[in-house]
Amino acid sequence: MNKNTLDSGNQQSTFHPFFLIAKQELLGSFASKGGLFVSGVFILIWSWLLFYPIQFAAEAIGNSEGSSFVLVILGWLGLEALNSWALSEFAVYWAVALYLFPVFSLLMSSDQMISERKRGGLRFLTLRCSRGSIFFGRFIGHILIQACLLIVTLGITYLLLLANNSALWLEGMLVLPLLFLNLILVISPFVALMSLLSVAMNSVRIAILIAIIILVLARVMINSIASEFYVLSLFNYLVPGIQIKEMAQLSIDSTVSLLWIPVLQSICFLGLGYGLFKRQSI
Amino acid sequence: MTAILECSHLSKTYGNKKALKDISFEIQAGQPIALVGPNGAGKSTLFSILAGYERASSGSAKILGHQVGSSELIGRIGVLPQDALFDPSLTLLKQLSYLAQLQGYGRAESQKEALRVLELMQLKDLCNEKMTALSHGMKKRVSIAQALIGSPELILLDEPTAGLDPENARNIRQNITELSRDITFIVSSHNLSELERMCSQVMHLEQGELKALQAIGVSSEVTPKALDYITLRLTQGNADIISKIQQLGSVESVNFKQDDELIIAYNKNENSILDQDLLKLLASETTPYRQLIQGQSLENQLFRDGKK
Repeated sequence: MNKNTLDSGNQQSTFHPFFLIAKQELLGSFASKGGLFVSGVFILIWSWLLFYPIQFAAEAIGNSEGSSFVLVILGWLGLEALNSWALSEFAVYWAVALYLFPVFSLLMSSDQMISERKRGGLRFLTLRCSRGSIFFGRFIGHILIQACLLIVTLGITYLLLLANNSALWLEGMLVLPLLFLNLILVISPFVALMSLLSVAMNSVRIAILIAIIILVLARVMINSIASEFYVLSLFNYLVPGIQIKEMAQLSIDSTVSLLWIPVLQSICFLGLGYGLFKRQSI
Repeated sequence: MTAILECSHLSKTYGNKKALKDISFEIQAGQPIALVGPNGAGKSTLFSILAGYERASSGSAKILGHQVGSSELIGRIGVLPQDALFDPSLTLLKQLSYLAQLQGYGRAESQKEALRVLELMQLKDLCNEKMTALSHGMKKRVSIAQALIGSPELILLDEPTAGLDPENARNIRQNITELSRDITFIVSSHNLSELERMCSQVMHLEQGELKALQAIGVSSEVTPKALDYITLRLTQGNADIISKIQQLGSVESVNFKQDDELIIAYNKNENSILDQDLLKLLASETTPYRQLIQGQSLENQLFRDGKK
């Protein structure tokens, strides 16, 4: 082998494998045909939501005649607190994003490793970086994908706010980081759950199905068991999204007090997923 | 001298099936080593454990003095895994430079390295193609190219020429022979004549057990006399020639392996030029022959007298 070539191997990459994996995941999601299609559908759905239902609801909240009707709807949904937001566009965005983003993130991050493991592609990676870099790099990659989508939707909502009332530009600007922080942390356990299921399951469809079962049935089961053994109700805190309803009823600066729940859930799912992946045959 | 590969009481069980049974061996850095055995013998399982893809059920395996799967081995071993496919959405160049970057190369260097290994596999012209545009043989060559990235000290190749056309198979054999000056290769294949040409040692697995680890062409038989062998391949079977060969000095035995192939066991100390005597005999008997090989073929060495 050419000695010069061997020496060039000593040129160290500026990125840790962990960041390279995350970057590849991010680029792969937006640069591939499949990724572009999913992102396109996402933006289309959000554009429709922002320019029709959210715009309508925001105008109605801001309008004294429409507000009573919207308040009734918000009351049905348990979201009366939104009426107290000065920025009605962001108020409605918050309520919609809190419920929709977790669902999107769950679907979009469902195949963090399954297809690649099935086709043997992981075997090329484990010779070059640790399993930890692969597992956590993929998770961070998917969080970055969601962060990009959040930034796009927040940007569009901000433009909508400016179009409706440009005097509120500063208030809008100040609320953006808070909304971003809250939503990214709300999403993280859903992505982490899919990281775990990507390791544990051999099919993307089954992984999604199991995730839905966990989200829908876990609380019912835990509550029925907890009626006998109250201490077991603590397991409710492991169900992703358990705090969302409560967060939707709070003002944006009060929701920080609930963010420990998604952080704790993410740590648990990631710890479990990594423990499994470290021992898994690939 | 530290062994490049060291396995001690290695076993792997899948449910009730024992894929590897208490295997122990040691390999020094050097010439390529052939790994042979029938389907299901445990060759791919052994490779998977050595590459860190799977954990052994018991025992230990060390490469370059480190436990397999440890971070110290990152970038120091290359593997051609069986049936592993690349990301279909990436071009060859992007795919391999990404792997090179993971191995520690900078961005520009990773592209150079990717092009270098693609050139070794005669795929440089296709560097901007995606995997979906390649034939099975080309995909196999890309997989071999990834195993060569960087400066691995040990490369495990699981059936590197299976499914390749003769010209590309020869190119890969040449590359292995050339690179084996710096890299130790372990090559698994069912093509014994190919292994015979490339490798100096053979490791024979059967039903999960290590049957032999020995130099190719050298007998492992324990006999009162240390015998050497000549393999003579005739153009067509000729039973009459056997008795005449047996009369040559130093010949101990002559065995037909196939109708046209004779294995001649002889004592080299008594006659070091038996090959020349044989050629004279064949000429005088006007018996045409195809090949005369010093030593036994790998096939004969492994499957002697139908014993294995």
